[in-house]
Amino acid sequence: MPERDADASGQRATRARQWRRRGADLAAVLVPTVLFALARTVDSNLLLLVTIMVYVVLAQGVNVIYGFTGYLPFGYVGFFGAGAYGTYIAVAHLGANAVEATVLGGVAAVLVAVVLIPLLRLRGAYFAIASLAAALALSSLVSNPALTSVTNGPYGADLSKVFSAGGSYWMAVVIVAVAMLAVVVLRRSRLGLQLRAVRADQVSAGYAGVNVVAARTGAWLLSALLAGLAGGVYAWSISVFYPTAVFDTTISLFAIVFALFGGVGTVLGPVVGAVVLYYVYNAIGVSDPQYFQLIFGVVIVIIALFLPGGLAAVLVGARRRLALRGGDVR
Amino acid sequence: MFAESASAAPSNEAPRANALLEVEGVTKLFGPLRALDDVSLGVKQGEVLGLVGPNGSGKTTVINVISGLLAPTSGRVLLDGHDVSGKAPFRLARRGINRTFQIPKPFPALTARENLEVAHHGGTLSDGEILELVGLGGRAERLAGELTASDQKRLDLARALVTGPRVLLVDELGAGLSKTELDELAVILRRLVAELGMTMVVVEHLMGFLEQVADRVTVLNAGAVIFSGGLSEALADPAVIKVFIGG
Repeated sequence: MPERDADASGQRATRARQWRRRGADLAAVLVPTVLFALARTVDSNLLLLVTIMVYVVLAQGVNVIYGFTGYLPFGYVGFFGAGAYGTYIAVAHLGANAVEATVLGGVAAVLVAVVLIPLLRLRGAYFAIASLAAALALSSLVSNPALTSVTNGPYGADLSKVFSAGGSYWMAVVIVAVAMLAVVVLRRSRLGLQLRAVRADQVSAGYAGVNVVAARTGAWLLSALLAGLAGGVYAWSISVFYPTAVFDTTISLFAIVFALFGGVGTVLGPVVGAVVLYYVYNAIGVSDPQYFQLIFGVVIVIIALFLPGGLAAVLVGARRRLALRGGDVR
Repeated sequence: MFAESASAAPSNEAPRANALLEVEGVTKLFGPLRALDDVSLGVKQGEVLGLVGPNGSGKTTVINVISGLLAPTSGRVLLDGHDVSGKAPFRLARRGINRTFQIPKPFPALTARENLEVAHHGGTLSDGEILELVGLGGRAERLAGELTASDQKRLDLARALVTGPRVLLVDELGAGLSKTELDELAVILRRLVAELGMTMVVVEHLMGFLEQVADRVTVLNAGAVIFSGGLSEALADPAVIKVFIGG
């Protein structure tokens, strides 16, 4: 009888843990989404809010590809630009409405990612540089005057006929929710576990029966989709843009640093990183860029030297130490 | 345990009849270096083959070729008669060949249980049963990176077992373990053979450990097979003595 009681107690504890986990996952999706939805009641600068949401989504995209696989995509902006131009082409040539065009922007980025799958054969700095080169090549392709009839070449894209500050704002809120949900599901999924294993040691992961190439490709395509959606909604919100604006490598750098600062491999880390650092950028990055660059540089050095897991790792470490002290080894 | 008579092979062992795992004339070149030179061996279902030889003799290279980490330059690896040479490790893991590593490679940020959850489950034992079998039942929720070196080796073995291997390649699992730990490990390996009918190739320097687990041994030197037979016969073989002691 005591054994039966112990079993029942263990099952209750497991169920309680599962419910706590589900609650935390739901909160991780809903809290940022609701806060961004309500943000317009506090700050009327919708373009700023959309831009922050775009960076939240981009940071989550970096989280997916770097946090779960270890691939650092310096050319991540290529997917963002592909999303922006995919949206433009959908509106200008396919007659899509803005919402459809934004979704097609995500699809365009995924198509670019499919073409670039061979890059996943590379690792480390080679991958980082190759992805950057691919983004620059894509930028050159889009801005080529010979493609003026398709992309309007170097003369910029005009989406003013579908411009809607409110519409793009709500679309950005939806995309934030999609990005949060994607990361939560990925983190809890078997694929997420496999990706973490691949990141730790791809040889061991292979012997665990994990199809390393397929797992990485899945993360790569999901990451591209998020960047493409972000690019699409950004294009919709600013409505007129040039290739240099949506293929600016600073976008990659911001997304990477935001994700690293908050903590890759976590759900909320990239959100915190993007919101905090973009507000700092917005406060002083335009008026006093030299100070922002100084802060940005210091942040990068601190992350590299002391906080490789970002802010989230500090919190998780503290929680784990407390749990261990309390006798719960998990 | 050593029922077979010694069959000293001047160069290479002939493939064994009804072998589950066969290595046929495998040569592996690293540039000008001939790491394996026309190596052939076979292991029957439920048999444990010890692979011994001095450092650099090609033992781990044989394991790497069988397990798909390296493709042979020439020759074939057959599993149950099917050519599996050069197939990716994840495909071999799913087809029934798995391995442990000389230096264990667990996923440090995952718990012991999660290390098993990651794996393709092809066996009949549950994760909990496997953790109990290797002696990690009480440490399932520990992060793998926080386990002792000995426990990490047990976890490495457990992760291989989850995939349900028919052939298990054990690469110096005993290195660095105490006598007690070695004895426990030998019992575990023999149980896997007796209860699950597992076939094994065990690379090991520790002859006492091999005596406990291996049915017979193959001795490699400079990438070639110089002896195949019982361990006691191997230790009395002049060619083997020359390789290990000199003269």
